[in-house]
Amino acid sequence: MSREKKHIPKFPKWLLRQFCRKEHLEIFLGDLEELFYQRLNTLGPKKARRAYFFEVVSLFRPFALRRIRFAFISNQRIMLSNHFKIAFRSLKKNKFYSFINISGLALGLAACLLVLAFTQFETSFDQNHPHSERLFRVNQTNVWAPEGGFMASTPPPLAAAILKDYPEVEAVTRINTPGGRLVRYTGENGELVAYNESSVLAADSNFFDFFAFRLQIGDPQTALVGPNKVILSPEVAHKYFGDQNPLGKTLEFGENRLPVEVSGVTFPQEDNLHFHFDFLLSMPSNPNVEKFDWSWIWTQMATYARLNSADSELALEEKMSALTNLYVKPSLSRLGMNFDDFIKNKGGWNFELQKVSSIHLGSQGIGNRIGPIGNIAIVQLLRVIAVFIILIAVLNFVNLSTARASTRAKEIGVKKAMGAMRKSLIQQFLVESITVTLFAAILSVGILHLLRWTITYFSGIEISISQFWKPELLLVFIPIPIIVGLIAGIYPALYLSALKPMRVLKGNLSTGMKNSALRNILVTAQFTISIALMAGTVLIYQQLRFIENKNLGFDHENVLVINNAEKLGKQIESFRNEVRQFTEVNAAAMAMDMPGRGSWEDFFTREGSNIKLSISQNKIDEHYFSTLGFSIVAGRAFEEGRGDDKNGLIITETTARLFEWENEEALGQKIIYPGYPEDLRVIGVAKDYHLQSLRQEIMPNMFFHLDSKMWGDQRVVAIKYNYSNEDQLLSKLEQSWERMTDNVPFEYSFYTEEIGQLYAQERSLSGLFSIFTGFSLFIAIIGLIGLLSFSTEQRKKEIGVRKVLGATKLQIFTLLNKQYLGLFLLALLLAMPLSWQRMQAWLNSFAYRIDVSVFVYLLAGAVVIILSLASVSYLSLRIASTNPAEVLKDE
Amino acid sequence: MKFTQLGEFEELVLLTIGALQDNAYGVSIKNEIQDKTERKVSIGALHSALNRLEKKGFVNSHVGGAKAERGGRRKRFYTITLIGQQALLKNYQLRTDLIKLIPNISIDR
Repeated sequence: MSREKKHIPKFPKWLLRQFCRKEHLEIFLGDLEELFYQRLNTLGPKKARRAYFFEVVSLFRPFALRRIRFAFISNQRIMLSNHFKIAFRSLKKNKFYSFINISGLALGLAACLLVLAFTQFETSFDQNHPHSERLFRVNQTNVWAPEGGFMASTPPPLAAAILKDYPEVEAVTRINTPGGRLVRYTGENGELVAYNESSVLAADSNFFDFFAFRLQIGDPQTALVGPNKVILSPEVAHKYFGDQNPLGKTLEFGENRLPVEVSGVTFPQEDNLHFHFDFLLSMPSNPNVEKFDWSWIWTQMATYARLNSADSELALEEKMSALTNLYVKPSLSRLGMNFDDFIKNKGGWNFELQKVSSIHLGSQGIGNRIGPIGNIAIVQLLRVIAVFIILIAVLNFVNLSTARASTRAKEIGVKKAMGAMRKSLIQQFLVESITVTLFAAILSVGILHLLRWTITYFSGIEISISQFWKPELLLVFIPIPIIVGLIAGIYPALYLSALKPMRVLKGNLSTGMKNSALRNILVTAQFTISIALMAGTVLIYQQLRFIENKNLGFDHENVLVINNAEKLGKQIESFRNEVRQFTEVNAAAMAMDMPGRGSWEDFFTREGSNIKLSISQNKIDEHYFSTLGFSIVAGRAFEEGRGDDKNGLIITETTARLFEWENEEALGQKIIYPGYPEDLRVIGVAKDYHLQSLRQEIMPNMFFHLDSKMWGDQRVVAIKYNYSNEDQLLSKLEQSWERMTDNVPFEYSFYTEEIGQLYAQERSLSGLFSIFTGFSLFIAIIGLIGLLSFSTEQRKKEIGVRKVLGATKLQIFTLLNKQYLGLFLLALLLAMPLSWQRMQAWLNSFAYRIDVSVFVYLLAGAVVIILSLASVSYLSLRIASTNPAEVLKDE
Repeated sequence: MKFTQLGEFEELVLLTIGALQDNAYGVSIKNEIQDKTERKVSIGALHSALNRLEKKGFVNSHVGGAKAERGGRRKRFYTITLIGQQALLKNYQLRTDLIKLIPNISIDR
């Protein structure tokens, strides 16, 4: 009994005893304890303790609170209120320094709070699924990437196999991606609603036992049982059906207008889940799933498993290596594929388990078939930067308070002479620093909203506002200003309270070498951070420019791509020809796909060698090369009117090299694709181009003729237009499209924008860095202004004397700034080793990259130094040009 | 005495107390509400509602029933008063009257 009791967390219990009224205490403690043991059994000790804590917090209500009795007023209390009074007075007296401290800390705190909210959101993903602690996703070796690694896509029979073979697996479910569809609904009065829908998933019928989606209409047990059922998101339900009840209505899916019955509508879906859907089909609605029921290479599923205990993860992973011999090899040989050939360089065909709650941040490289993933690197980076920024603000505070010690010296001397204890003085200074940080905290809430807006604007990273007022976050945030206040205040408090009363009252307080040395160190630290961040900003910007200006091997400017062109059917050619006649259009071409959108790989061999290559293919017409500006290095591109071109191939230089041909030598050679009915001969070699983003090396590539018998039914039309009216062009295109199709939505994209999207992550990183660099620099500079304005104030007389003796303005100006220039250069030197490594690591994620050069640092250093000197120069100039008579006349 | 209103959550608590009869105390009320409605009820919210109900005179309470699993502490049991019962009936009546006025609505949809 007493051993068990140890599980009840002590702190919340103590807290309750402190604030709760005596008459309720016994009942509350009893209820909480009973609940705790209930939860211990169902949720486990960790969650039970957490819940206990939140229940105690929930009891923090007026009716339960103990009345504060004002009857006892101790000396302590009076002193405390006196400390506050003095703190306010000194803040009011030194408005300028208060402003510097408070605004710096407020910016720092705002950055901190924002990062806290962001990380809180990013780490809150997938916590609320039923039994989430036992819920895993099954990953397997990425057999489609030449270098292997793991991927989140798995074949259909995997789920059933592990459920059957391993008793540790309690239940399994699968999610399939049938791909985007055209969805139509014909209303009761015959009106047609049709959209191209991209967010379409299919799931097994036990979906709702696994995931925290809830239905507001429909029965989760039966909604996904049987073919041709679909569950909608509430937004989509409203889009198609307005205010009508969608249950039982029929939607038509895809080109063949498969009728699908609406069997449910979810509640609005939570943001922090690793996937969302607009349409969730029942699994049998996608006939391919049954067709490939036996195939271990049709990796079109995300497979999830619930284990009987989270501890069996490792043991099960070990056992799953048996699946390869048992199922994968037979399945491959049925296809006539050689397992060892296929798996070469990929390190075996393996399976692993990944906790569903770690998918959002832990899937770099693995990916997530069914939704976007987060980036743990950005989360970590933001954490570091937030700490740095608040550090700079804290250092400002320490610097200013110690530098200005002499102004407080008399007060301290008098207090000590009157018998103040050192402890009480320390208390006083801490109260002052905490007051400053509390003001800053209030201000930071306002700044926060400004900052959130700025971040979304510059980096596209949305930080959800709903995260800010979660109780967990407030509990973390409220102590932060107090802790920061303590950290910032403790050194000045110790320093100031140690002043000797006799010496300060006699009036010879030496500002001391020791302290100005400390201040120099702190200023150097601040600028080291600022320069390191600035260098990061410069570098990211340079790499981004490099990427954007790099010649990709084709021309994407002024290109418009019409998607879903296969829906034009046989009319696609007349569409292209009609478009080519438009005055706004220079050229137009048809193809299966565009570079940058993905790759369509398959295996090919050549005649006279057993080299086997995985090559990405595209199918194009005769105008494609000229429309997109690809260049030919040997042979020719497809030409109009040459019927035999349809069995011709254009390969890229890399493909030729990997097949061990010289460019010229490749012409006329035969490439073999198993099952292709006719001979395929190379008619041209194209210059290499970047099919994928510049993070990847150039891969082998080739082009089939659009009329060839190669697989691939998708079509796009690429249109090169001249600098005329885009709106007019679009409306003309849309008219032609509507004339030639039957109510298919017209969809297009500007190709340059699309290529730019490949680097969206880098662009948002660049935006983020600029903002935070700006912040850190701003705080460091206002701190510098504070320091300098104080030291010039102190040295007024000295400067007056120097001027009388003939010093020039320039000499005075250099005298004042010389010291800081040295510190800046030191900071520049320190910043290099601090950030060099990190920058290299980031650049290494690109196959095509710039090098880190000293130039980056010189530029960053120059920007920081010039900005800082420019902002303090007003002060130095003012003091350098004062009339010495003014400052020397009194005394 | 001025007529006191019964809030939505208070009504739920009051109904649950009635349903639990002799065994209505903090934990049992909380569990019952969670089972029936699937909404999370914190002990704080519950006790504050109970406190308001008692102040409005809708429930009476007495202490007793100490148990080991509560660390030997007693429970506070709640029972509905006559005023409480009337308030519930009044709300019920109001709702059935209003629901009858809505066309095309039936319970077994």
